Amino acid sequence: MSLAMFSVSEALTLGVELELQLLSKQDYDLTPQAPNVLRHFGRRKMGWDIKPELTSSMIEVSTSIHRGFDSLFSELTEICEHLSTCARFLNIAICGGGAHPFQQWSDQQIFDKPRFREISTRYGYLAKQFTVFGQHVHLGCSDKNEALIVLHQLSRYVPQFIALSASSPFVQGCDTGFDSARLNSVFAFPLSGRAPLVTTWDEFSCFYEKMNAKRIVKSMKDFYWDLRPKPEYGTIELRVCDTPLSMRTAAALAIYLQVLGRYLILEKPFIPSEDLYTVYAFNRFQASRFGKEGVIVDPQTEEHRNIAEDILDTLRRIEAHAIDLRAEKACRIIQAIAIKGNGAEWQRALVQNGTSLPELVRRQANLWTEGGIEKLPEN
Amino acid sequence: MLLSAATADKLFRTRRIPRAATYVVLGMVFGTSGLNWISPDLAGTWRPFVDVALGAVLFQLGQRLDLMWLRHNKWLAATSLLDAVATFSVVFWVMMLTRMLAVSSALVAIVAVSTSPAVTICLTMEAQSRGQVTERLLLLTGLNTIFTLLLAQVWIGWGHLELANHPFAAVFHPLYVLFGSTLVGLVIAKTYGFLARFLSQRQDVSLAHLALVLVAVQTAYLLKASPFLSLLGAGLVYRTCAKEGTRPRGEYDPLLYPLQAFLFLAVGASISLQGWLVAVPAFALLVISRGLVKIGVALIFSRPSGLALRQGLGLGFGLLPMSALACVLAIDVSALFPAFDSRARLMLLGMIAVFQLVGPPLARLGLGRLSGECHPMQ
Repeated sequence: MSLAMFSVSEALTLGVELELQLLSKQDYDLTPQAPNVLRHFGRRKMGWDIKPELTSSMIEVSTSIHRGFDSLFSELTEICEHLSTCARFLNIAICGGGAHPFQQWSDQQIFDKPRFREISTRYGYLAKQFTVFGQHVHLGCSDKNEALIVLHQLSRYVPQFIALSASSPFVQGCDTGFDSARLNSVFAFPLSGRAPLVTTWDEFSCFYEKMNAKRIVKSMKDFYWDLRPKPEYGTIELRVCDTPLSMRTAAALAIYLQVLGRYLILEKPFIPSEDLYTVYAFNRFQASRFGKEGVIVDPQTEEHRNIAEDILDTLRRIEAHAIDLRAEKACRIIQAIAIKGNGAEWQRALVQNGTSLPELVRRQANLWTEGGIEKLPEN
Repeated sequence: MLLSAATADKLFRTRRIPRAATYVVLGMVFGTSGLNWISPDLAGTWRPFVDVALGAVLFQLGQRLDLMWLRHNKWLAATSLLDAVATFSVVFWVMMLTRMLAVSSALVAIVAVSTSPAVTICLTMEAQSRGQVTERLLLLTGLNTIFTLLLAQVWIGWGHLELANHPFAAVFHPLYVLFGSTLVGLVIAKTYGFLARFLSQRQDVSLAHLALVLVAVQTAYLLKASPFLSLLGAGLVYRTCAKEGTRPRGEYDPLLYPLQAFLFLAVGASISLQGWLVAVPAFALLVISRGLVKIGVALIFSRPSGLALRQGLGLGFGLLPMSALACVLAIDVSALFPAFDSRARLMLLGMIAVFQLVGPPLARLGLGRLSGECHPMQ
């Protein structure tokens, strides 16, 4: 399939996709009930959408197009209410989080759809191991070349998004030591990582056609990059976030991307260069391993700094843009996470206080359904 | 049991034949209707072992029943209710057609309502099935067991009146059994609730289960209550009342494997094929009508309750098996009322034998091919 034309969309509009966990209320392990959930919604017309994912214990919900925090959060709340009603009807639970803490990958079933069967055939057990849950944010771009420039500029902030959303410290029943162990599952795919440094759409088309001609990819979906353009929507898509534990955090992360996008488009603080990617893998590892306590290297100044400090510094730089976009509420949530802790820290603190992993998942499900926000337990 | 372990394992691994079916067949081969090497007396010496094994199954099943689901899915509640009412009514009508006494017909109809808890648990354990049909099958099996045990008490009252002419016993015997069983169940649930706080490892949970089952069965014997009602109730009360976060979660108690194998072998060995074959036409009508009603109800309510038709069919198949519970009820009633119609007893035992043999493979088909809920490796 050749590369689609880049559809022009309204700059800085947003769309959010969330991959969610389907849980048995008996033991809070994953349960392969995606076909039942999808059947429940059937052909109902809604502003938002619900889709199957690679394995049957996952679903993906995607919002309509938004311009600000309130409308996005309001729609996410509506989605949550519909999903909760469906969950009660089917006696299952639904929760956020980047990975299920104790599911066994070999128990998972590939969702019965040609594309997913093909992925399973191509990638073997990696497909089932890919039962991890991410938040993808689409940022609207009015110009295809500008989209690519912003995409590369945003790579500077990828560690921040990883640290802020990290909520997958436990995998297969063990503490991995990572805040976001989910990213290790993504990294196993050969076409994961970063996009090639091309800054015009013509160059990008040329790259795509080469990959397509060599029969390495069939469509843009075959690239599992951290940031990738989505020409059909006229957006760039940030794919590094774990699905947060609460909707409020999910909405705040999306708005943080929007504010950063405005800052990059209007102020053009730096020109994308290969220097950005010299430190990229190191910074990305620091964020997924240590969360906000990770130490990253600033690609421009080569200064080493704590990710939490980097986030707070960025929030100060983009404050005017946040005010213009009425995104102060979202920025306050981001600030609170940078200061108090991310989802992984909340999960780890509970388990260290003696909470079992099934009980942790039950609490995650309550957090998701009740629309609360994770508060670290007091020691 | 050694031979059955090896055979059941081989047949399950190579042909996916449910272990429950293999145990029953082996029981029949070596039991009363076959070589007669073992002839278990389910009303006598073997009974305490059967009660403990079945009690352990019911205690586990009770802990899997989430009655709140019925509040949120009214169609599921309707499925359960109609399944019980329609099965009872149709089987009662068929029995009356064959000129049985109403009191005998009612007993056969009550037993026909039940779905074997042992088979359901055994199948879901060995197939490691997960999903909507599995959860519904467990819930409906539990509810059918409750309906059967409660209706059996009502029937015993009627039996006292019709077959023994004891009006006092007709009222107070069932009430006493219900009260006694509830009391035992509550005490067991409360004790388990207290113990559960200290149980984190699977082997400790397993030991606590066995100890509580033994205590419950012994206490029920002393009080002349029903060990089955007590233990099913105990599991259900514990599940419903335990504070969230304190309940041990996870897989079934591994102790159930040998207990269930014993149960199926014992029941298989106790089945006598002599006698009931004489009433083939009436008996065939009885078996077919029970099968059609159970499958039909599951199918009718599948769509509105959130299942695909294929899954509804799978659920219907899952509801067919009958086993130890039905067998023990039939034996108890015969012991309580020696005047109970012997033709009806033969029909009842015959129906149990058929659904014990064909039920597990059909239920496996329902959970596997039709619903796709068995573990990929099982």
